[in-house]
Amino acid sequence: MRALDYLSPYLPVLILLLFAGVLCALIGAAATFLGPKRITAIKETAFECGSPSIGDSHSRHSVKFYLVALLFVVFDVESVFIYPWGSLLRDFQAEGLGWFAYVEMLSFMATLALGLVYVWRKGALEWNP
Amino acid sequence: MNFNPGDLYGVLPALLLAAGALVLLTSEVFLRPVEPDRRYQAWVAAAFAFAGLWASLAQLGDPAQPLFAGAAVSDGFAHIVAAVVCAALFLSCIVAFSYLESLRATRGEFYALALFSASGMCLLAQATDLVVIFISLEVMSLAVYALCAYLRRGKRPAEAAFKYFILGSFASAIFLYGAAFAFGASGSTRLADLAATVRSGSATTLVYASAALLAAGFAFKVAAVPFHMWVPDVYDGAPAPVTGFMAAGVKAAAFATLVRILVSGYGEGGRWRGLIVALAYLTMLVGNLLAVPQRSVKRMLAYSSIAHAGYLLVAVAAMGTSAPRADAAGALLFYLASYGATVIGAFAVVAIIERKLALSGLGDDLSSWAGLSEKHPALAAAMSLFMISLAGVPPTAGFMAKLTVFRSAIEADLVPLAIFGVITSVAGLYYYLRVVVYVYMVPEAKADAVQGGRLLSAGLAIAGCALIVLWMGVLPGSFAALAQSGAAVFGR
Amino acid sequence: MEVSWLHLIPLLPLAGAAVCGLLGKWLPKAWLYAIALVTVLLSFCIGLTGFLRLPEEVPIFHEVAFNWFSAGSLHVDMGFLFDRLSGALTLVVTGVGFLIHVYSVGYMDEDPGYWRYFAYLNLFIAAMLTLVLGDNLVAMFVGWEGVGLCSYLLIGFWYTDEEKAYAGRKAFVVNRIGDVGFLIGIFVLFNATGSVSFAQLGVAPLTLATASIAALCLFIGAIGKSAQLPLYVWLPDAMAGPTPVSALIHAATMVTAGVYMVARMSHLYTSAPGVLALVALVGALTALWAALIGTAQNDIKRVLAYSTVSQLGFMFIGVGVGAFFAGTMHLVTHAFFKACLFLGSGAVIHGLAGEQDLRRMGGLRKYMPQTAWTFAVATVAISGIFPISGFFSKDEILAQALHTKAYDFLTLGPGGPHLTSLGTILYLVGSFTALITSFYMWRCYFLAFEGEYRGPEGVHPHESPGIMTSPLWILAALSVLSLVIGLPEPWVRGSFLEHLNWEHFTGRLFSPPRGGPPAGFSPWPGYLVALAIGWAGFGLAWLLYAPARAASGDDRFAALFPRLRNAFANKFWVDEFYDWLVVRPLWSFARGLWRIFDATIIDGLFINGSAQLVAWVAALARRFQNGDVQRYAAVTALGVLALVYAFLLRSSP
Repeated sequence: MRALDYLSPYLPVLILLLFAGVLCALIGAAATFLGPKRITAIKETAFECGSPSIGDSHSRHSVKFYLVALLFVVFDVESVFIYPWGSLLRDFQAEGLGWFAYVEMLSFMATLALGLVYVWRKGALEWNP
Repeated sequence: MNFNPGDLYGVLPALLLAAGALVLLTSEVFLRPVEPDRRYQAWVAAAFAFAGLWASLAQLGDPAQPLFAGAAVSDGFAHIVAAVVCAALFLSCIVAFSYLESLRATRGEFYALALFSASGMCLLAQATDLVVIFISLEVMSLAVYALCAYLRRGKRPAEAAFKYFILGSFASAIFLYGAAFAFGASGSTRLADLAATVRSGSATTLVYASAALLAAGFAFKVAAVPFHMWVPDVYDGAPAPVTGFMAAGVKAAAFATLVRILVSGYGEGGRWRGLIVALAYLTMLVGNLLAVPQRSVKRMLAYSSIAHAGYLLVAVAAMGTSAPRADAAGALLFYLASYGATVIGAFAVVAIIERKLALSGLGDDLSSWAGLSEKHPALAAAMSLFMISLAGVPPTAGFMAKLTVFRSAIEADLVPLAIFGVITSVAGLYYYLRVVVYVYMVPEAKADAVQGGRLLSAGLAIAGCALIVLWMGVLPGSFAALAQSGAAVFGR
Repeated sequence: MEVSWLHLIPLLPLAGAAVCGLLGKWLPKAWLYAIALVTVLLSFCIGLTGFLRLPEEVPIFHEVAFNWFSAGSLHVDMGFLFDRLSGALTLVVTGVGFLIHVYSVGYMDEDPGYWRYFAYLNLFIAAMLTLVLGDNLVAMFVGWEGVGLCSYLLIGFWYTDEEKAYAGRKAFVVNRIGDVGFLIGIFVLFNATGSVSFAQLGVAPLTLATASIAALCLFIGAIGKSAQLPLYVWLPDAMAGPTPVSALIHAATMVTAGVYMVARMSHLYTSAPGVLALVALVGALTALWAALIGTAQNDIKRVLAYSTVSQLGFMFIGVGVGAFFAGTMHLVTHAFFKACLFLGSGAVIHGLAGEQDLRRMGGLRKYMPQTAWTFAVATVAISGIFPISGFFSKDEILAQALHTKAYDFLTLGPGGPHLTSLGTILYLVGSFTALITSFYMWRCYFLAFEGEYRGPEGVHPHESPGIMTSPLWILAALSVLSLVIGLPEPWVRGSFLEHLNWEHFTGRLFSPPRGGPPAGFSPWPGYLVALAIGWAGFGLAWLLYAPARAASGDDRFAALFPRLRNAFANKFWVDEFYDWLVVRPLWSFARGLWRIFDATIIDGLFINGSAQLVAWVAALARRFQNGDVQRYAAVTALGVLALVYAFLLRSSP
C-alpha cells in the first residue's frame, strides 16, 4: 500500500501520543490506588481555591452573547488574513504585483467594512435594544 | 503567477450577482426603521438576475479559456449552467415576491441570500480547482441553508434547515477529505494536475479514494441515493419558492461540478463510470418508488427530484465514454434547463396552494388540491402541464429531455440503464398523474378560492415557466443547439 | 408533393382547445360551441379538399413544418404526411369527431364542466391528427401519448372520488406499459437505420433479428393502445367517461391507432414474418375472448366495449395476415357503425336518466324510434349481415386469412417452419367469433329496444333532441354507404366504383407480404358462409331472447311471427331448456372468464399486485425516512463507505 508511505512521517507523533496517554493514565491510577483517602466535610470545601459556588452551574447566557462572540470571531478570523498579506507584500512588489496585491486587499477590506456597516446598522452590536 | 484583470470578465455573472447581493444588503440597513417598504428588493434582485442571465448568454460565443491561472474556466458549459441558474433565480424572485408579500413575511435578507447563493452556483460551474470549488460550494450552501429557515416561525422550516445544515456540513467535510486525498496524490488542487496524475499511470489508491469522496460530496448535493435522506424533509420544510430555486439551481450547479470533477479531473477511465451507473440505478429506483405513497405534493416533488437526479446521472454515466461525451453533456444541460423550468413552475403553483393552506390552517395533503380546476382553470392547467412534463410525456420539455438523455445512454452502450430509466419513468406517471386527478376532481366541500392579491406576479412566472416547458417540448431545436454548443467543450 | 397547409389540420383543433380551455369558463356557451365545432369542421374541409386533390401518380402530400430537434445524430423534422391512408383517417377522425361534437352539444349541455369537456375533445382531435399525419415515428409517438393523455382526462371527467380516478389511471398506466415498448422500438429502429421517418424506414433493409425485435416492441405498444390481450382490461373500465367520449376515443379513433401503426409500418412487419403471425394470433384470440365475455355483460356500454375489443382483434387478424388493406378497411367501417352504436347507447342512457343496465330497459323502440332504428342499422353492420359495410370488411379479413397470403408467408423466418395451418385456424376462430358477435349484438338490441319496458318507475323514456339524433342518422347512413369501399374488386372492375374500392385505392401503399402476390380466389364460398353466420347469430339471439319476452306477457312479436312461436310448443320449457343448455353454461363460462382473468389475474395480480408491491417497498423504505437526523447521517456515511470501498475494489491492481 502506497498510502502507508504518506503516513510514515507521522509515526513519531503517534508514538508520542501513545506515550503521553499511557503516562497520564499510569500517574492517575497510581494516585488513586496509593494515596490515603480520609474525607471529612471540611476537606470537601474549597480552601483558597476560589469561592463557594452559588446556584446552578448550568446558568443561561443571553443569546446576544453568542451573537457578539460569533461576530467577533468572524471579523477576527477575517482580519487574520491581513497578516500573511502584510508579510508577503514586499515579495509581491518584487514580482511587479504590488498594486494588484494592494487593490486586492482594499477590495477585501471594503467588503469587510460593508459587512461591519450591515451588522452595525442592523443593531446586532447593541446589547440593549 | 500572473493576474490578468480581463479574467474578471469571465466570472461576470457571479460578480454581478454578488454585487447585487451587497447592494441589497446595504440598502436594507438604510431603510426607514418603522414599517419599511421592501418591495423594491424583489425587483432589484430580479434585475440583477436578469443581468446575470444576459451576461452569461453574451459570453456564450467566447472561446473557452482558463481564468486565474487555471483555478476557474470560462467555457460554454459553465455559461449555460450560469444561464440556467440566473433564469431560475429570476423566476424564483418573482414567485417569492408574491409569496412573501401575501404572507407578510418580507424581511430584509431574503433576496440578498438568494443572490449570494446564485453567485456561488455560477462560480461552482466555472471552478476547476478544488479549493475554489469548496469555497463556491460553501457560498452556495450557507445561503441556501439560511433561505430554508427563512419562515422561522414554523417548526418545520427550522427543523428542515437544521437538518440540511448538519448533513450538508457532513457532506462538505467528506468533500474536503477527498480534496485532501487528491492533493496528497497529485500535489496540487488543480483538476488539470489531477488529470495529469491519473493519465501518467502513477495513480495510486489514494487517487481513487479521493474520487469516491469527492463524488460522494456532490452526490449529496444532487440528492443521489443513498445520500438523499435530507431531501424530503428539507423540500417539505422550506418555503415553496425556495424549494423550487433549490431544485433548479443547486441541482444544476452541483451536476455541473460533478461532471467537471469526474471528467476533467479523473478523465476517461471507466472506473468512475460503473459507480455512477450503479448510483443512477439506485437513485431512479428509490426515488420513483418512494414518491408513490406520498400524499403531500411537496414531499412527492422532493422524491421526484431524487428520481430526476437519477435520470441526470444517466447522462453523467454516458459521459464516461469518450465517443458520445459531447452529446451526453448536451443532454445533461438540456435536461437541467427543462427540469429547472418545470420544477420552478410546479413549486410556484405549490406556493400559491401553500399560502392558502397557511391561511386556512389545513395540512398539505392532496385533498386540498381537489377542485383547483373549478376556481383557477389556468393554474390547474399549468400544474397539469408541469406534472406531465415531469412524467416525461410529450409534447413537453420533460419528454424531450428524457429522450435525449436516454438516447445518449444508448449511444454509450448503456442500453440496460436506458431501458431501466424508461421503465421507472413509467412508474413515475402513477404519482404525477394523481396530482392531475385531484386538480380536476370535483371537490367534496366548497373551499374558498385562494385569497390575497398579488397572484399576478406569481401568475406571470408560472406562465413563463409553462411557456418554456411547452417551447422546449414543441420547438426544442434552438435550446438543443444552445446545449450542444455549450457541451462542445467536452468534445475532445 | 410538398405543400404548406397540412399543419393547419391538427393546428385548428389545437387552437380551439386552447381557446376553450383557457377562456371557456368566461365565454358564452354559444361561442364556445361555435369555436369547438367550427375548428373541427374546418379541419375536415381542409382534409376533404386535400383528399380530393391528391395527385394520381404519387398520391402524397408532404410538409416539413419545421426542424424539430437534433440530438446527436438524431435529426427529427416535425413533418406531416398526407397519403390515401392517412388522408382517409383524417377524414374519419375529423368527420366522426365533428358529429360527436354536435352530439355532445346536446349531451353535455347541462354539465357545469362543459367547457373543459370541449377543450379536451378538441385537444384529443388535434393529438389524433398528429398521430395520423405525423411523417415519422417520434411525431407519431407524440400523438400517441397525446391521445392517451386526453383519453385519461376524459375518462376521469366526472371524478368525484379516488375510486373513479382509479379507472382513468389504470387506463393510462396500462397504456404506458405498451408505450415503453413503443419507445424502445423507436430506439431499436433508429439504431439500426439511423432514421425515424416513415419514408426512410419504408425502404430501409433490415435484418430479420432487428426487424423482429423492433416489430415486437412496437406491437407491444399497439397491444396497449388497441386493447388486445393481455392489456385490454383498461378499455371496459374506460367506460366510466361520458358516452360520446367512449364513441370517439374508445371505439372509433384512438384505439385503432395500433392497427394504423402496424399498417403504416407494413415494410417492417413484412420483414418480420414471425411477429406478423403473432399479431394475427393475438388478434384472433382477443376477438374470440372479448366476444365470449361480451355475451354475459348487462351494462350496455360494457357490451359495446367488449365488442370494440373484439372488432379490434379482427383488424389485427387482417393486418396480421399481411392484408393491410383489409385491416384498415375494417378500421374505417368500424369507426362509423361503432360510433353510431355508442352514440345510440348514449341516447338511451340519456333518455333513461342514467340507466345503463340492459335488464332494466326494453321496449325503448316505442319511446325513441330514431335511436332504435339507427342502432338497428349499426347492429346489422357489426353483425356482418349482408349487405351493409361490416359484412364486406369483416368478410374480407376472414377471406384473406383463409385463402391467400397466410399460406405463403407465415413463417418464422426464411427456411423456418411454415405455419401453413395458421390461416385456417384464424379463419375458423374468426368465423366463430363473427357468429358470437352477431349473437350478442342482437341480444343487446333486443333487450334494449324490443319487448316490454322494464325500466325504473317514474322515469319517462324520451327521444333525444334533434341535435343528438341527427349525428345518429348520419352515422347510420355512413355505415350503410361505406359498403362501397368494401365491394370485392372483381365486382367493380372497370366501373367508376373501382376507384372507391379500398384494395385498389390503397394498392401501392403497403408492402406486399413475403411469398409473392396472392393467388386469385373466388370470394363466393366465403361470402356464403359469412352470410349464413350473420343470420345464424341473429337467429340464435332471436330464439333466446324473443320467446323470453313472450313468456313475460308480450305477445306482439309472437303474433307477428306465429310460425316461430309454434315451433316452441312449450315456451317455458324452451326457455328453461335453452337456459340450461346454452345460456347458463355460456353465462357462467363467460362470467368465469371475466372473473378469473379480468378481475383476478389482471386486476388482482397485475394492477393491484404491483401497487401492493410498490406500497410495501415504500413502507419499508419509509422506515429509514423517519426524520431522525442521526439516521440520515448514518445512511450517508454508509453510502460514502460503500462508494469508497467500491472504487478501491475496482481500482486495486
